[in-house]
Amino acid sequence: MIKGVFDKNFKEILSFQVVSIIGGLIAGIILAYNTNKILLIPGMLITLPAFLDMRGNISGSLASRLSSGLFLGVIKPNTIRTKIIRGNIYASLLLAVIIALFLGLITFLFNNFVLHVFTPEIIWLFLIAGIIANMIEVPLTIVLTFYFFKKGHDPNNILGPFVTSSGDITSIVSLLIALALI
Amino acid sequence: MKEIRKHLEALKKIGKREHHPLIHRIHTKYKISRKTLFYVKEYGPHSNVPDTILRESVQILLLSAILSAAGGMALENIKEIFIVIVPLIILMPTLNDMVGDYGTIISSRFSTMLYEGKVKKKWWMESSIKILFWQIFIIALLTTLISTTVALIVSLFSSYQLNALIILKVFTITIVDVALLVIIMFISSVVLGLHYFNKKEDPNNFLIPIITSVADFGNMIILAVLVVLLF
Repeated sequence: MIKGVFDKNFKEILSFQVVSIIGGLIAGIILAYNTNKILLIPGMLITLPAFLDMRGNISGSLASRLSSGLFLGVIKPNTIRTKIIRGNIYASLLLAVIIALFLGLITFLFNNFVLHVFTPEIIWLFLIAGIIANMIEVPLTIVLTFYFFKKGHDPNNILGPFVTSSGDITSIVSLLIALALI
Repeated sequence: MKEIRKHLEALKKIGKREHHPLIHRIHTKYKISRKTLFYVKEYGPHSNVPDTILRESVQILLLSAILSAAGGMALENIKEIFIVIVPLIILMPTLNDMVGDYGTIISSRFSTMLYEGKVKKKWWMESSIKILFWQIFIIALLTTLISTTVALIVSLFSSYQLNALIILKVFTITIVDVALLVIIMFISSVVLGLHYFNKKEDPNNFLIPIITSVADFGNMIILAVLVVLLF
């Protein structure tokens, strides 16, 4: 059984996970060095993990849908300006806005009713950060999906850990930009 | 190949919610799975792509957000203790990602095993299931050790005072957190996977969102409890 544990699957999962943790650690370092800006905001610890997850979920699904379309021939690898791609971009933006608003609202309600702190600006914070993160991640995901497909790789195998890692970094940076704007 | 493309182009023109004999004909003649044909039909020129994606994604994303937020409330309650432990701040996004990834891997591989008939009544005796568990458990521990070591090294460069006791506590928290979550996710995947499979439903549609949500929620709660116990 020991030989069965350390097979090809083991090596593949381990190598992808190492890639994934690098992005998480970079995001964590940025977060740790900006604790006074981000984490001291009331209610931030409630929604920060969900905000980080949101990026990975939306970009991951986008990469997966595009990969499926490329493999099926429904999406042509040399044509990005198609109805399906535009539809995916609009859907990703709308999903990011809906989820970011929802997270902002949860935090606002928690702060108001539990912590007795009135922080309506937190709704704007998550909304702006969600839009900024989307504007960075969606084009990146689309370009990389097409790039890896054209190079003969299966984007599904590569982009999963990549989008979760880059999503973490993008989310933290977007929060910092949104904080500076608000 | 040209003939398949011709039929697929015709398939795209079918109305969105129509069950059309063409689908069955293409499936039978060219052995293209119904799910593949479903993709082609869903995102054809007459479909509203954003509407399809929104309708099918928004519920699960909102549920996932609610569960993560519920777990986050546990951390918010111990914020004063948590935010001064710099290594754990650095590790928070990493731990979040790791447990989500392992939940996805366990769920999808177990679903595949169910379809391949590798899961019998006494599933705990199956070598393929034992191998899956030990692979994920060992990889989880290795990646936890690597990331915790890096986080501790980085926190040396900040003003955070590290000593042997704090290093031991941080390692204990991360290892216990990840080990417990892998066990919980594994048992949940097996129980729920068997439940949905025996109900003749596709476990792939349910396991991954449920298990990753459980992982997110559990991660925050276990972290909060361990931080309170050890710090």
